[in-house]
Amino acid sequence: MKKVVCFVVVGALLLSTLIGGCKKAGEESKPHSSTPVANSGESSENLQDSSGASTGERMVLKIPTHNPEKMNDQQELKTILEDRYDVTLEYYDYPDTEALSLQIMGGDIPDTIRDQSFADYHSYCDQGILAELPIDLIKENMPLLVEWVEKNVGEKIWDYVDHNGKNYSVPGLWSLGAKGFVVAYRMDMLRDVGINTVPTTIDEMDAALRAVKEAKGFAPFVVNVGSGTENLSCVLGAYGVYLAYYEQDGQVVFGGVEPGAKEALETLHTWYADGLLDPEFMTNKGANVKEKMAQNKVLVTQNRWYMFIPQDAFFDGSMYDVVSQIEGGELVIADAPKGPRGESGLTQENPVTGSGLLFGKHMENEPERLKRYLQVFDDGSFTEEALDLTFWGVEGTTYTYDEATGMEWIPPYDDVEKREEFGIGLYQLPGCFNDYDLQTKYMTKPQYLQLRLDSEEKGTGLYDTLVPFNRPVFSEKSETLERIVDDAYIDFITGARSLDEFDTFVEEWKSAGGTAVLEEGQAIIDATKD
Amino acid sequence: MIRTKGELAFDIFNVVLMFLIIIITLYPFWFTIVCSFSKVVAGNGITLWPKQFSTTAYSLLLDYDLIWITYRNTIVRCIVGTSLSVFFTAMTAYPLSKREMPFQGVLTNFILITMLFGGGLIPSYILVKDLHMLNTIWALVIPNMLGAYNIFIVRNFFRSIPSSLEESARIDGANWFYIWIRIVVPLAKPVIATIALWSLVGHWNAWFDALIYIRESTRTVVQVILRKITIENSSMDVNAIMAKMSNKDQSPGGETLEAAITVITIVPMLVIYPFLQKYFVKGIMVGSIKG
Repeated sequence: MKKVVCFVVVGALLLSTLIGGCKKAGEESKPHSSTPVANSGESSENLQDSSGASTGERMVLKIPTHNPEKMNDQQELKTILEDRYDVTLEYYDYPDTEALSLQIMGGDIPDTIRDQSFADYHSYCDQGILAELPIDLIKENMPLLVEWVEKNVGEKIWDYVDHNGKNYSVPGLWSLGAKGFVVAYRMDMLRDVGINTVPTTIDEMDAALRAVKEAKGFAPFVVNVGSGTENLSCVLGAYGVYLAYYEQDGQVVFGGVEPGAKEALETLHTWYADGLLDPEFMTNKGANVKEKMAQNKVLVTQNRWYMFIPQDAFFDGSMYDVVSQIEGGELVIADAPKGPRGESGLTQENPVTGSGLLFGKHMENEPERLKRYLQVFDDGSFTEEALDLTFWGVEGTTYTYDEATGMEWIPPYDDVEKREEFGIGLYQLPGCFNDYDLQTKYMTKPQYLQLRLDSEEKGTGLYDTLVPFNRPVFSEKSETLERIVDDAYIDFITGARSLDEFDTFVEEWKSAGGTAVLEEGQAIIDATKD
Repeated sequence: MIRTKGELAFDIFNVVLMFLIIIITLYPFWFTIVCSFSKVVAGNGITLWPKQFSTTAYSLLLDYDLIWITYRNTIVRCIVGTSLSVFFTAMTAYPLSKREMPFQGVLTNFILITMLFGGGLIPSYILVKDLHMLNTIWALVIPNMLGAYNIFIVRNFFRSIPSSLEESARIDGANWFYIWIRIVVPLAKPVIATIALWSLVGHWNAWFDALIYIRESTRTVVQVILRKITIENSSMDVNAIMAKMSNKDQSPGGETLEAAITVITIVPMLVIYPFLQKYFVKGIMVGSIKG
């Protein structure tokens, strides 16, 4: 009898497991309004009605941030900002990329989505995950942002985020990208070998490398691996080519397979063979280059300009910090070396690095809240008054400002804990639109302003103009093509492959999809001109 | 026993080789500890001792509230997760060890299939979300609670316990639960200790589930913070840690902070592991069928 009971119970359990597992089969997972999970671990209900109109309570704007644990409702700055915009601000943890993808796939779509690649952006558009954002809506509610992007990129910014004739993005940009990379020398090492001016041509660079190599015995040109061999781009630029897709005489080209690249590779191969180029050029990480710099084993390197100047001049300053600890050490940012035809430049980054700020589909049903987001972000990112509040707090209470000497904290706000109690530096609105010119006074001490401007101007060259466009062929072929280029370049530079085979390499690249990618790019460029 | 020259040479070669392997294996650990106590790492090269000895990185980290909060979360997760895992694994394995149990074969295959196939990441995420476990400790504990491999290890051990012990208890009137908790489990301490260790180490090292299921930094585990700082090079976290540094000249480098947080997260396992390593090796064999 007990066996029968056991049989029935276990059988029933098995059956119920089967039924329970099949319960949701056939049900579609529909995207629905998502709210960040509140502290209680339960989903909180949206306070607004479906039209998005305020029900007498303030509209709730939800903004991701990296330091939510430091934020609370008692902070004075939060109250000031909420009163300024007549909203309630809810900050939640900035989701990891993978976590965000899962969240979206699971139908839990946040109000705002950021930092998505163009491939993902177009994919989300196709899946109906994003709210359409008519350009006129953005122009009406974010005039300052529109002025900023169109000033830096032009009206073609709207072509970049166009998806089948519609717009789903508030475009942003990283203005540092277009002028980010520069060449920097250890001026003290140059003086040690009798060179008192920074090299300006490839021949002068060659002479400087040889002199230092002979005097000090190490390979003086040291770079870290970025994306493939891009950190050697100052040499390619001297021969008029860039490791990117760009327009040349009306045609889309990839500089890495152009004739100028062969000349550049000949120079690099000679430098490698003569011990002038660090043999670890394809394995060095940033930390390795810093290490070698600290050991006085670097004469010239290539990286972002703000690494080579003091942190108070803008940001980072990591390489400057390393050299400042060396007695007599001096870093100088130089112009990119000119080649035999007077060409120069480095491969830069397209300032439109991502698809901008996106909104979840459900926001189409809340037009008033959507507009409020746009208005708040426009004011919060592009007005000096709002930036003063965000970065420094209240003038006369937390800080004083003088154009000549800069900002001074008023005690007790010179203590970082007191500033955090006030909320200073925590409330970004939304934090993904950075007009670095407008933010100068917050990021650059007055005595470093000219140094910053001079350094940034050294970042010359070209960037990949096709990055923002939807390129299915490129998405499919890019990994293969990049591997072909990286492998060939390493072999050419190290001598494992003769440069007589350069044309063979070009044919390999073309037949692996390069031709198709160039044709796709040409079609895109031609379409934007129509 | 007289050893030949060949044997002696081989022994010497073996010892030297093992010594080199030990150095290659241990040096990265030692270097990380050395870096964590060095004020600046760049330029030190390969070194055995800290350069410009400083404990600033540790004091900054220990002053960073999120480190304590996430460390606590990790410990709680480990204790709750390990306890539940051991309890339910043993409870699942016991009836499966009884061949007379109805549907024993079906259930065993049912569990075996989970070892061979998985639903994938997205179905797992949707399941956790639909069970309202997102952003709670249960998302970290329940999906990992029952592992098929562990169940079979324990089941096999239970089968090696003489049935005469259980029969005599049955004669004396004990029910199955009593037999399990008072007779079988005490005899199964070696395998339960093994499962507990595996589970503990698994929970301590786990970060991916916290990354995708936990949305608040105050609820995540310390390994996620470690990952953000060392792999993602999160300047936000580094800046938050160094924000309270009043004298920038004394501030440790980013590499020092990375090394220090690595040491903080790895030390508990590093301390426990050598003493309990033998159970890991034994544990794989302890579930084998005996007699």
